[in-house]
Amino acid sequence: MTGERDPARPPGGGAPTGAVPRPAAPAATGDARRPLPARPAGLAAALAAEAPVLDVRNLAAWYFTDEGTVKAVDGVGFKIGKGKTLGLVGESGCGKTATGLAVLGLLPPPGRVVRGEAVLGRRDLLRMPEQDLAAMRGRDVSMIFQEPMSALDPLMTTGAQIAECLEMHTDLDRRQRAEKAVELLASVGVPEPALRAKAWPHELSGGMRQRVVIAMALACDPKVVIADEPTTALDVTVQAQILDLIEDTQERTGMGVVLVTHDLAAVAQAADEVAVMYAGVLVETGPVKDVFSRPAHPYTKALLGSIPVVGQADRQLVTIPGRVPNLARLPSGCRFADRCPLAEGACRVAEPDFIDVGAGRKVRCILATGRAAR
Amino acid sequence: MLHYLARRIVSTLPILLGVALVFFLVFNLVGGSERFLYNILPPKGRTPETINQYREAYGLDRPVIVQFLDTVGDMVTFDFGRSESTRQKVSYLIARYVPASAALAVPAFAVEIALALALAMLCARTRGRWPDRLVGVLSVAGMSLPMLALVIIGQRFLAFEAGLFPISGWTRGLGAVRYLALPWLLWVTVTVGYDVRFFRTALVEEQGKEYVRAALAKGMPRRLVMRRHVLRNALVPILTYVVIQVPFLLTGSMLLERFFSIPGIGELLVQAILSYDLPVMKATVTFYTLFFIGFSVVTDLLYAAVDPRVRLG
Repeated sequence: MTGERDPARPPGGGAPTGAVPRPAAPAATGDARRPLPARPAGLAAALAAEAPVLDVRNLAAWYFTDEGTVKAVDGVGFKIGKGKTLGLVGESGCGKTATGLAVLGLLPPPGRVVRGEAVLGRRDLLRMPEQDLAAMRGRDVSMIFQEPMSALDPLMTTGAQIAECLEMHTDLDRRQRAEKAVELLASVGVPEPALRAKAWPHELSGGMRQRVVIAMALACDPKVVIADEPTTALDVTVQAQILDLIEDTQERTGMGVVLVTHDLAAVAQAADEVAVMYAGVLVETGPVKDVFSRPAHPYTKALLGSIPVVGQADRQLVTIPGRVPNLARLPSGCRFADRCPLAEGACRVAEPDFIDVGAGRKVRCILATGRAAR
Repeated sequence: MLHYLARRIVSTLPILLGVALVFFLVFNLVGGSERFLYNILPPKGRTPETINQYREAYGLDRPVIVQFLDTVGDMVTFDFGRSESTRQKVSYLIARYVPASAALAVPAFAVEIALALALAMLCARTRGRWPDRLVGVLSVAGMSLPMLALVIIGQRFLAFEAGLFPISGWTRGLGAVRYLALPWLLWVTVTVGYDVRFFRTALVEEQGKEYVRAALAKGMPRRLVMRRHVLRNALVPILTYVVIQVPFLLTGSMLLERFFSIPGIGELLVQAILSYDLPVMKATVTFYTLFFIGFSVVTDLLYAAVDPRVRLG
């Protein structure tokens, strides 16, 4: 647990804590401060393992459009421990991708970070001169993009694109960079890497391109990688391979991963913690197993209910009626109330707080937290 | 590649045939051959006998289809005989008039493209902020001014009243720069607006691509991303657009050549049309056609050179 030094968090900016998996959750105290799990060998090692590599607090990123302010991200917080994976899930347009881009300072205009912090190695990425941030991108924090075709420059060979990252952050000369690029291609499972390094992106298959994109993101061993739907554009058979590849790299380098996706199966396979996002805010966070086996928020339940399960052909899939609310005109109460089967009068009065319900879980729902508190 | 070139050269023939057909039809529809005969004879010599004599001499009494094939033959062999007004060989005339056209068009075009690219880069980098808006407004203003009005304003105020340039004229050699300065200025003013807008669109479109974000995520500074990724990719549409414009330089410069008495190929064509000088008309039309076809081939070749996805064949 990383909750020992829990600064006063602004309301709505809760964070799923838990950089280290807890085999058995300690008794819920209704508070973020809980006893620490048994520490491994040395204290220093333990502290190193427990300090989150990325700590995002109360992040808000809004798009200032002519039609009004679109609050794409409106107070999101999470922590990622060394070697851990956080699955950030939600429907399209809920602000997942904007969250990732905001952390890297790559929000396209008219998007802007309006508040929050993203602390990586004691430095706040959100309050850093562009030049300093550029120096950290790729080296400390990098991103894997969704569309492997469009994330590669069509006019540059794959090897050269990987070498660019090394050019920015290492002292290697041109030749060494080219060699390292080939090694990186080999390490992400590209067959005949020397040949592929000289290939143009359009000469490779989708899965191969995604491996190149991953090699590009991992070239300088970043501490954190934000993987934005890394498997969405790929064939199902390739999806699992790519997730395995990310996991293997993680074991090797100890990087933290934010897996941004709407694919709950991918989260179940690869993530330690899950954060469910809805209309710009987190509605539920916690260890993946707990959240998926006992979802507390009606939205999480609905999401899980909408996945077909093999062998249960006669089961009626649950659909969530309606759409994600217009992020420029949010309702006054709970953002999910209009689509929630359980919504009652109180839900529409004020936005529920993000409440710790114990066992490393947090939920933003007055019904669920009311029950849990009982 | 060789296969591609061979095919392009062979396909030139039907194009020339088409051009010859259109030219021939238009020429005869406006009674071109009668005007031609009328024009080449001095006023006193215009008797029905002499006219018939000349008609036979120029083969204009033959069946239309034979005349047409004759024209095609001239075009393919590039042998048009002599000009009716000056009695000089047409090929010699073309060779003599091309340099002035080139002296007007090439530097003006080069400066204009470079300026447009620099301004478009500025716009793309400061998108939505004041430098972008200022350049945008000026571009539209430049585009809205007709060339003719600018020529008159330039000659009246800059040349005649302020005496900054000669009003018109020509000399051989480097001295021509004096006469070319004002037409160059006008040329750049009129055309740069269009190109800035096109280049800016191409650059902004590339800027929005995911690979730009990916390059930034690698830690590259924005300026470097702009130069190495955005500009190179935007160059694909820009190059096509620029090279395809080159043949139009000739037509575009016709007006300037006329107003500034620059002895260029446009001026030659205009004079030939005014005097119904059939051989020169045929020759200039053929020249333009080959120029257009040639540059479309160059466009394709450049396109393939820049973009690895393009294969010629």
